[in-house]
This record gives sequence, structure tokens and C-alpha cells, in this order.
Amino acid sequence: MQLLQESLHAEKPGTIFNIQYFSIHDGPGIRTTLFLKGCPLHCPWCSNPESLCASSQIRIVPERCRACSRCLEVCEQGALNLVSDRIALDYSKCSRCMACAAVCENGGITSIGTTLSPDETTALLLKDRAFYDHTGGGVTISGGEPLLQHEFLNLLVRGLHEKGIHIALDTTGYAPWQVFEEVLSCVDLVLFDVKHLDAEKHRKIIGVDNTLILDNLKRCSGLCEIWLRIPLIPGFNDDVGFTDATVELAHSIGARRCCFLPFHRWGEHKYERLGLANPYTRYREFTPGELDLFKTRYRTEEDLVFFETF
Amino acid sequence: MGYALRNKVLRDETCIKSLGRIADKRTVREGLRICLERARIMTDIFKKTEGEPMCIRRAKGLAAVLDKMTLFTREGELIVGCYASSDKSLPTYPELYWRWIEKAVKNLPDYSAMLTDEEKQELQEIHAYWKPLSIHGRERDYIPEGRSWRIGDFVSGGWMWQWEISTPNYEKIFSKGLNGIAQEIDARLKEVLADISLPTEQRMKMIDELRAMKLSTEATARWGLRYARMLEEHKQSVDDPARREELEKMIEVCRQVPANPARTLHEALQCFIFITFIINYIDQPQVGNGVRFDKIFAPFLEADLKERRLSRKQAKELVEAVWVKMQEGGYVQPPQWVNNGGGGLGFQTITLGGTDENGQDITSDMTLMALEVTGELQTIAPQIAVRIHDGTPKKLYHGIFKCVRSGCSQPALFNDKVNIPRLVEIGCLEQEARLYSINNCMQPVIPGRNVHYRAGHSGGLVLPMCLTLALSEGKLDMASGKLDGKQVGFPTKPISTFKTFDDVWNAFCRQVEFAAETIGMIANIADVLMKEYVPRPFLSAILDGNIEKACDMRDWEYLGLRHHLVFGCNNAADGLAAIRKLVFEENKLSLEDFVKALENNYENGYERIHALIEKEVPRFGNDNDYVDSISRDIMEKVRQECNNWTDIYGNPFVLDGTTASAPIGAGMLLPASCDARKAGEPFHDGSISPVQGKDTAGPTSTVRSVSKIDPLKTGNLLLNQKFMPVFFDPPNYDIMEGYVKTLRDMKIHHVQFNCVDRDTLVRAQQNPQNYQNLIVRVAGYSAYFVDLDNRMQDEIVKRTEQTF
Repeated sequence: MQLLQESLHAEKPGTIFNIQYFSIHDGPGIRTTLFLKGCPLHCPWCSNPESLCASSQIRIVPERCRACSRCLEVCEQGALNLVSDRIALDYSKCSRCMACAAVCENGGITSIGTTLSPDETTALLLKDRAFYDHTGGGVTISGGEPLLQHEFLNLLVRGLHEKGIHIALDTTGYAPWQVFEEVLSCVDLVLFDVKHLDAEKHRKIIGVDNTLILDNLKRCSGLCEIWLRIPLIPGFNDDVGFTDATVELAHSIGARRCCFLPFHRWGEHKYERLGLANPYTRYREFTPGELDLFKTRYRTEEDLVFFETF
Repeated sequence: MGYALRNKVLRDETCIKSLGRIADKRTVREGLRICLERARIMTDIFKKTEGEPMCIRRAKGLAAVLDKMTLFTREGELIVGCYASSDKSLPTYPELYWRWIEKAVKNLPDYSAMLTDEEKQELQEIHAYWKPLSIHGRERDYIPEGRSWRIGDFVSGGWMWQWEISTPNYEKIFSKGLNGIAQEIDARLKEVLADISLPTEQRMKMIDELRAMKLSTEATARWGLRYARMLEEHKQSVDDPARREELEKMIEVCRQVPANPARTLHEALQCFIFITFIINYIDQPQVGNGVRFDKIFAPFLEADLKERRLSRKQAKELVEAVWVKMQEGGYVQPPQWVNNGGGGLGFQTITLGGTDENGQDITSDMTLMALEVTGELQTIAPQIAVRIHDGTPKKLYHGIFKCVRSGCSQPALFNDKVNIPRLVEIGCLEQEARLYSINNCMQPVIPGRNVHYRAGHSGGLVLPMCLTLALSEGKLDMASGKLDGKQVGFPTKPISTFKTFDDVWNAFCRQVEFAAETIGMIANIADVLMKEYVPRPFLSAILDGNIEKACDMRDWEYLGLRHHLVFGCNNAADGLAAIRKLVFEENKLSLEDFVKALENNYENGYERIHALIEKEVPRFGNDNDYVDSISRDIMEKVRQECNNWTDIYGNPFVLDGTTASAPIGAGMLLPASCDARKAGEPFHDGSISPVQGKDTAGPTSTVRSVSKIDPLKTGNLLLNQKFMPVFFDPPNYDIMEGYVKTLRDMKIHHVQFNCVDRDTLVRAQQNPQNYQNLIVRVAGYSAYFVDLDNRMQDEIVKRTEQTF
């Protein structure tokens, strides 16, 4: 029986790009945040572009290259070049065989994305259990969109839930309800992203409709604790009409928190290193004065409304 | 306005003496001078008392210094105290050493500038008397051939310098006054004089000891009155009525203490400073402090507030005045030791929190006040240790985090769940162990008890160098870094004979044994010399048990805490992991490659070996058993070696990880090591912290690694952890409290939090390899600081600056 279960688990590996211990921004207490790869939405302000693609990727950090040429020797596609003694990758030729990342000793080429079984992942997530117990913490599963790997996710949350671990799911909400619902049965807290309440604006910038997202949000209400997380993007949703409506929505669904995450450019360099176009060009960062206007507006709701800034 | 703000200039000037000296690369602060007054008076008395018992000579010497030394008060101070003739000078102690200071004054401009030509002449004359008598260097007469006392320079250290530790019974001094203690000595003296049934030789020695205690205790009682007279005179020149009122108050205080019992907080604090200055700077250089500040002063604070003698604000001003006074402490240190000790600070640690003898928490308003003052003043002395136990109240946690958040890297947190059982294990009664305090940087003492020992007085065990010597048959030429030439370690077998990793491990262990034996032997010789030639009658009188026994504090010990100072454990563990993996498991390198890479400092074509180690070898601090188990084995081996050697009182040595900034100093002097550390780079700080920047899996992973090493077996284990300031903001208090409680339950001996400040980030920009563990987290975004491009890094530096 145990053998059968192990083989079942082995069939559903997850692709993850990071496990961050001692995470204090993704739910209550000290947490371990698991980042799963792959996301159906492509928000142009995304600060973790390494999460977008569902499979492993190559990351290039030219400053770390020492021009040893070992990667050039193993690349069968001829996708790598040395340009002024720094490594450069032609992503169109790259087959993502990861041979170059395996031989690089200097950190110039690394692969992003590891495959782990639910059991292996669980073992890593339980390491900080003592810290969860003292702080009301637990595990947060983030991404990407974790529901994209829902079979893996289901096995994972079920195992953690049985061990009494507090589980938070950080999601865009963009998944069929049946999939969502199954996972939710083992989740204590949903960190639910809301980008815009206007369907058209949502579709235009993010590429998908928000109907499913908002429907799912309402269905979550009452099933578990909800924290709304709203990227606040200049020129997209930084009008008080939207923020008022979102705070109102938070009230109506009984959300415990409504956290605004103002746009920042800190993920910019990550795009370049992954060979992706920089989507930030159309945005600027808020001035402190602009943010203060929002903060002042919701001062009376300090138990509900939060702004995450440096 | 608080005392310290009012006296900002005073505080800044004070820093001249005691700020760390690594930062500005100077060995001595500009403007600092050597004061010969103490040496002159002491020498005069020693010339006049030849033939008398040594304890009497020491007592007379101290008494003469106290009676004759220059006294002064600084503008605006509320607590007085001097130990040299000006506020910019430091005494010297020729009865302990002369050679290094004479050389330094002659050869080094920084030291030379501390004396005029006339004073240099006088110093030489003083030394002419002491050359055959001064104890430092006399250990050489007792060291067998082939056991260099410096073992290749990297274990040299404290024997050139005094790092003696002990904490007098201040509660008794406050309640009886020194006159009361002198009466106690008198009574005992009468008994011994009358008791002719005692063995004659012993009885005579007891009588001498008691007389010496009495002489020095009475001199100390007189010292306060000298201050009162000096302040009277000073008052004549002061017009400001407010200041005159303050001075009158201070005069009254100095008339009362230390001769008589302390009645108020002001008197108790003044008495504390008088005694501390005598035992730490005048009688003999001694580091540390070790009082449980809140425990001994809380009753005075409470009574003063209750009787309305003081407002809380005034009480806090007095505590500030004490902090500023403690910051004045300093020593002229040997040039070799300046790098290791990080300045003349003297590690004046005071302890807060913890329990009484019954295990009840003692946190009071004095605890919180001391933390407030520390955070607000940002002085570097005193250093603060807080004891954490199951009953530590929330308000104390909040006080701790506020203090850490201020950016002063204080306090250090010590775990009662480790320290108390450890003291019990070495023979302390549990009720007594519950009274422990932290002295120096992290040594436990029981305040008032005859616990006295020295830190690193004969050198530290630099473990990564033991590994290097294991690869070189014990040979090392320091100048060239070649693993050849001078035999500094044990002649282990050549690497050509090593077939397995165990061969390397065994050779490493043999080097550890050799170094540990050598250090233990020198430590014991040093103890005998100190006992014979530098008895301490005054300190004996204020440590429990000596009056009753009628003996010197150096004649016995209440607890055996003599120790081997160990550092670089995890540089050695990472290095051994590199050898095991790359040589014996993956055949990517040979031992000869390692030797060549070390000799070439990972340069001249050996850069690849450096990169290979950096990439492939698991590092301690990431909860990886491969290397964590090596670290545990090393500590276990070192512990055995320490325990195999007993001190002159018959108690086994223990392992100690109190390294202060020595890993930086030692690192500066030493060649490359097997963990890809290059020549001159520091070893990891603390005794169990991961190698700088190699703990890339977050702070909890580091704690998990550390928790694999049993602190009960392996002694003081210092873990330093860096956090972004935001972690210590009020919304995160509960999380950090839970974090500390988890560490407490995981039996982490001791942790020190540092807030990442602007300077740290700037250093991280310059040397990213040492800072790979700094995580930046904001609004859904997460990255390692060193991974950011320069523009982003600059932005974070800017924002971090703003948050202080």
C-alpha cells in the first residue's frame, strides 16, 4: 500500500522555482513560501518573471561570467557566445537542455526550476515547523499560479493539512472552480489577487477576463480566511473609484485584510537575465506623496487596509 | 533633554578612547596618550617594599596610586571616576609587561605619539626596574623545545594582554560599604591571629593576605573622599547655579560611597563606577563587568521613585551617565592584539533579565530603562546581554527589539535553557546557576562568587589553520604562505600517503591535539605566574569566600571555567567538506591541487579551484547534513581535547567560542584556507556562525544547522544573524518574539541580531561574495540583494538609510 502511494506521488511532481524560509510577508507568523512555476496570466508589472513559464528556464548573469568557455563546449545548439568576455545566449536557438548551467562554476548560467515530488516538497516545508508553532505561522504556496499544478498541489496540501500545518494559498483565482474548491478544502487562508474590477480593462492588459476570478472570490467567501492582495499600478487601477470599490468588496466578502502592493521596478533586471522583453516601460513608480493620498484615505480602516512598501 | 544629549560633546570625545580601531585602520586613536602616573607610583612602592610579602606590596601599591593619582571631573558629568591623569590618557602596567610597549613606542608612529621624549625616557627608567620581574615573557623559561608559544603566530594572543574576568559582590558592597567590609576583615584577622592551632606557615600567609585586603579596602574607601574634596574645589570655579547644585549633590554622594552603604540610586551607581574603575583599570587591566544591572539597581530605583527622591527621567539621566562613564574605559593594547580585540573597549558586558535563585523572572523598570538608554545613546559600552527563559515577559521582548532596531546591534540574547544546565554540568548548584550573568562578551560567571578566569590568555585554536597544517606535515612559512619551512604544528604524515578522507581527518585531529595541548600548557604557566606575582587583595576582599578563607582570589576557584578559545570551526568544516567531496568522492581535485591553490592564494591559475569550491561544496548554515555533521564532529573533537587538560586547580578546561573580533584580526594575518577563503579575509564571526554570506537558505535554516551542535557539550556558541530593520518594527514584534522562543526551545546557546544598516549594504555591493544571504523583500517581490543590479542596490541603500 505504501509502495503504491509512493509511486502515485512520484507521478505528480511539481515544478518549483524557490522555497523561501523565514517568510513574514505572506500570511501570519513565520512561514515557508513555496513558489511554483507557471502562470496563465501575464501581468506586465510582474516582479517575479521567473514564475511565468511552467518549465525550467535558463538565467544568465553576464557579470558573473569569467569567460572560461566550458559552456560553449557543451552547447549542442550553438546558442551561446562570448561577447566582450561575457556570456550571451541566443534564446531562439536554446533547447533548454541545461547542459551549460550544469558546467558553469561561476554562477553566470543557472537553471531556474526544479522538479520535486510532493513528499520531497513536504519534507522541505516541514523543516521550520518549530517556528510555525511559536508564531502562528505555516506554509504559503505561491507562484506563478499554484492552481496550474493542481494535481501536485492537491497531494501537497492534503499531506500538510493532515499534519496540522496552517496553509495559505497565494492565487490569482484564475482556475476552474472545481479545481479551486478541491484545494480549498485543505487551505486555511487565501491570499487572493485582484487586479481590476472592470472586465474590459482586465482583459485588455492581462489578456483574460476577470469574471471567473471574481466569481471564484465570492465562492471562497465563508470557506476560509481571505486576504485580498491588489497590485496598485499607475494608469491602470490607481483611481480611488477602483480602490474604494475594492475595499467595499473586501468588506462584502468578509476579507480579513485588503493589502495594496504599489508598483515598483525591482524585478526589472530579472527580465533581461531570462531573455524576456522588459514590460515595465509603460509604468512609473508612485511618488511618496501619491501613496500618502491613498494611505490617508483609508486611515480609518487600518485594521483592514494595508500598503506594502519598503 | 537627557543627560547624554546635553553632553553630546562629552560622549563623542569619550568615543575617542574606546571606539573600535579596525574601521579606521589605526592601531591607536589620534590624540590618545599614555599616562605614566600609575606605573611611576607602583614602581616607587615596589622599590620601597622589597622583601615584604607580595600581597602586601600589591596592596600598598594600589593604596598609593589611589591616594596620589590625579583626579578631575569632566564638564557636566553626574558620575565621576578617573583611572589616568587626563580624560585622553591610558595607564600602563609594567609589572605585567614591558617588552611589547617599549618596542611599539620605539618603532610605531601611532604609539610613539602617545608619549613625549621625556616620558619615553621615564618609561625606559621604569622598565629598567621591571625587566627581570615583569611576568609577561617569563613563561618562555618553562616551555619545552618544539612547542613554540606562538605556534606559528596564529594562536598568539591574550597572554600578552590581560583578559581576566570576575564580578565582585556589588550587593554586599552597597549594603555594608567598604568600611563594613574592612571591619569584617578585621574581625577575621583577629580570629586568625588568635588561633595559634593553625599550621604556622598557613597562618602567617593568612595574616598577610588579610592585612593586604584591609590596606587596599581602606584605601578604596578613602578614594571617594578625595573625589568629594576635588569636587569642592572645582565648585569654586563654577558660576552656573544649576551646575553648582548638581556638584553639591555629587559631593554628598562621594562622601557616602564607597566607604559607607549606598542609600540612593545615585550613590549605588557612583559606587559601582568607583569599584569598576579600580578593578578594571587601576589595580590591573581586567576586561568584562558581569553585573546583573537590573537586579542590583532595581531596589534603589524603586525606592527613589517611591520616596520621590527622583523622577524617572532623572533616574534615566543617571543611568545614561553610567553608560558614558563605562564608555571611557580603555587600554593600551599590544599592536598584535589591536587587530584581534577590535580596540580598547574591554567588553564591559552587563546582564539584564533572567531569574532569581528560585527561577522567578526579575524583569523590572530598571531592565527596560537600561535597554532604552542603550538604544538611545548608541554607545558601544556597556555591551548588553539579556537572559531569555520561559518566563521572559512580552514587555522585555519589545524592549529588546526596539533596542536592536535602533541599529546598535544590542543586546545579545542568552538562553537560560542552555546556560544553567551547562553550569550545573561543571559543578554549580542549580540555585546558584540561576544567578549567572554574562561577563566579557559571553562568558558566564556567578556574580560575587570567586569565579575568575581569562579569555584566550594563551591563544586561540584557529581550526582552519589546523586543517592547513594537516596538509603540510605541520609546516608553514607565514611570510610567503608556503606550506613548507618552519615546523609550527605536529609533524603529521605527508599527503602523498593519504588514501582516504579519514587520513585527512586524522591528521587534522592530530594538529588540533597538538595546538590544544600547547595552549593548555601555556595557560597553566600563565596562571601560576599570575598567582605568584600579581595577587589581587582588593578584588579578593569583594569576592565571596576569600575573607573567610583568608586567601587570595587566585588561590582557588569557585567554578572551573578556564577554556580554550576556538574559532573558524565552520571554515574548517567547509574546507573538510570541500576535500571530502572534490578529492575523495568526485576525483575532481587532488590534495596536491589544494596545497598549490592555498600557496597561490587561489590565484595564478588556481581561480578555478576557488570557483569549484564555491559552486559545488555544501556550506555550513544551510541545514545540509553533509557539512553540518563535519562541523559537529570538529566541535566534539575539540571538546574532548579541551577536557583532557586540567587547570592548576584541577578542573578540566572547557571549550569556548568567545572570539570577539579575533576572527577578523586572525584572518588578516593568516594565509588562504581550504574553504576558498583567501589570505587576509576574516574567518567567520562567533564560534558557530556560518562563513560570511554562505548561509543562503534563510535564518531558520542556519538555526537548524546550529541546533545540530550540542551547546551543552561544546560551550559558548555564538550565532550572529543579520536582518533588515523592518523585522524589528512593532508590527513584527510578535513574530520576532516567536522566533526567539523557538531558538530558546531548540537550545541555541546565544544569538545576536544585527540590523542591516546602510554600511552593510554598501559593503555587500563591494564584496558580494560575502553577503549572498541578504534577502530583500518588498510587495510580492523577493530577491537576494547581491543579485540586484547596481541601480536597484543603490535604491535599497538609500531607503535603508532613511529607515533609521
